[in-house]
Amino acid sequence: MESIVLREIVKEYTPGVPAVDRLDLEIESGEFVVLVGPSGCGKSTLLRLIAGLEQPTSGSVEIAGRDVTGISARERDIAMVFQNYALYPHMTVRANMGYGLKVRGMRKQEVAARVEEVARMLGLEQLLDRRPATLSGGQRQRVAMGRAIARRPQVYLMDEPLSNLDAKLRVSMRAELDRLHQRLGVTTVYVTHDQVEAMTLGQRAAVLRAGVLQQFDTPQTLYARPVNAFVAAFIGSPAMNFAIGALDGGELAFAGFRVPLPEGLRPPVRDQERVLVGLRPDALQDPRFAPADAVRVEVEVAVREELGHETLLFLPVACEAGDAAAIRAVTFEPDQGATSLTPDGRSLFCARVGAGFPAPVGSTATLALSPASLTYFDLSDGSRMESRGTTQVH
Amino acid sequence: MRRARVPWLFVAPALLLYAAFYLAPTLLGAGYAFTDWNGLESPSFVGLDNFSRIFGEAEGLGALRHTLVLCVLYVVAVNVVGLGLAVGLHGALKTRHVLRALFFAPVVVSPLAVAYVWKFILDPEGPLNRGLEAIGLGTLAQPWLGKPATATAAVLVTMVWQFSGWSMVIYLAGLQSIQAELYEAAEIDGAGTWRRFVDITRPLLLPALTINVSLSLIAGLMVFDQVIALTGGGPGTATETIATQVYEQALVNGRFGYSAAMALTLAVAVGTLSFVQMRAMRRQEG
Repeated sequence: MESIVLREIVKEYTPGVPAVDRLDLEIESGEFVVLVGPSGCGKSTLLRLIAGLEQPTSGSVEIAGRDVTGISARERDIAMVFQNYALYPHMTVRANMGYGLKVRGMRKQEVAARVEEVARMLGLEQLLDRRPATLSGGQRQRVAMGRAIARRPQVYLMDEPLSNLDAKLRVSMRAELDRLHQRLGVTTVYVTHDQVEAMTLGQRAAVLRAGVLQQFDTPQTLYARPVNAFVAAFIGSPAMNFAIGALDGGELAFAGFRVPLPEGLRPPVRDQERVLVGLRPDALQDPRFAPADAVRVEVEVAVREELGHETLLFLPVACEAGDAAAIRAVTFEPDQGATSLTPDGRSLFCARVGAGFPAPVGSTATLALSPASLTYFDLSDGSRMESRGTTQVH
Repeated sequence: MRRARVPWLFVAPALLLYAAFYLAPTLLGAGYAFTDWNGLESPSFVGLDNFSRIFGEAEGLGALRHTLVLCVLYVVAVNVVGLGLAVGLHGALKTRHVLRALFFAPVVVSPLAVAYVWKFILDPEGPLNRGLEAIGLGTLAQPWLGKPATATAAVLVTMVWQFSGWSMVIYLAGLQSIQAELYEAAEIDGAGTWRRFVDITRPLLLPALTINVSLSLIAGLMVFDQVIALTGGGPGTATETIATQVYEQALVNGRFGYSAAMALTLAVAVGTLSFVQMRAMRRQEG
């Protein structure tokens, strides 16, 4: 059963300029859905539309089968965790967590019992009589979570709740959020600009750009079968490498490489027609572990980043004048994105190899590239193109 | 050692001026409060006689009572009006910036000038009575400054009209420091407009309320210009305040010692009441 249904939602703050544009979304009951996209893509607006803190210009919002369009936030039976937590500074942790219950007329003893129960669940028992100003960022975040959980609403809405925490705490809170969701089983909509959070937390993630829903699917599908170059560039870290290439006989020529392609793996374009080629950093592999059909390519190593368990190599590759701009036009990357150029006009590819891979900076390394790992996009609109031998999957 | 002296060299000129023109006269004035000085002859020590007269003579007691009544009414009125204006002009009203400037404008005018404008308005032949007659309410026209009740009200209205903009600005600053997300969180928690005002706005505005009550308490206790310009303390002594008595007893009646005792009483009252009020409200702020 659907818990949240958005139909043809349009939100315009300035007439004619949609912040959210004809968006449809159906979220299953108990599902953990992540709304993800770059700054200004409309994800927070969408969350506020679900919360009732904003009303849509047109379209409708349903929660648990009830049309709540035009109904105020207080009547929607939702709870929200804000980016800055929005804890009441003049109330203790106990009062913060119990406020929603008190306002809704629950008896004092019941409020106290519920608050104690949630505090135990989140390890907040020792903090109940303290005020938010005396808590650390992580503790405030837990109190904000506790306030939402104590209410036992139909839906949890979370607006970048981990963005103010340091990297280490973020990882542990991510795991805790996951654990809480599994325990409570309440429908959760979570907004983030961090695609790692989207990939790790969401059962499904909705990728937005400029107020338009690009793709709504499982993280695995978003990564492996992005619908367009924008989703491909946004999902995955480090980002996908892009280059413009063309078929030349049975070979694909791109970024200075010539990769022989079997018939079934060729992009659906004519000979010499330009096509956007995408390859994930792990598509450029250590030849020792590469599949049999992989092609050897020679690359110069410009930068080497040791991450302990793996190494990232940054490799300048050939890029024709104007190609970087043409790629950005369909990936919507900022100038500093994956297709950034070196001073001599080449673009930088990233390869992910094992920690001990012998390729010092300045050397020429041999890497393996499997034709099956290449993804193709239409240069006119950025949409993904299926290889000739691939069955179309929807 | 020499380095430690350098800062004192910088503050010395200001300290000397402060001592000569503020500290010394204040201390001397406080000293005269215990004398019978009349401004001409040399003063002689009279102990607490002047103070017992303040609380024993009708003039002194009357001034004290008028001051307290005016002060309490002023503190309540200026804060209610100021808070109302602040809440009204905090929202999305398009003209809010212009209106804020308009309501604040009287603050920058001299209280004497404002009082003279109101004296003109409230004159028996002035615009208020003429206006009432013009709209058929001539029976309400009266000598506003000629009756004790309306004269006190006139002083109060003049003060509130001038300083509610000041109070508004302090409340606005307080309102603007409250995160909008707190209201959204409270709305999602189920609180309606009134509940949000009571549970979020009211407690978070307490610091602004403390400052406003302190300032208005001090202004109310020290009211002088408006009374002198509007009523001169009349009709009779109906609007005499401690501050006007300080002036009259010294410069009209030549009772400098008695006047100094009144001034000292006023200073102690202002200090004590402000301190008590600040302590009490700060405790509430938590």
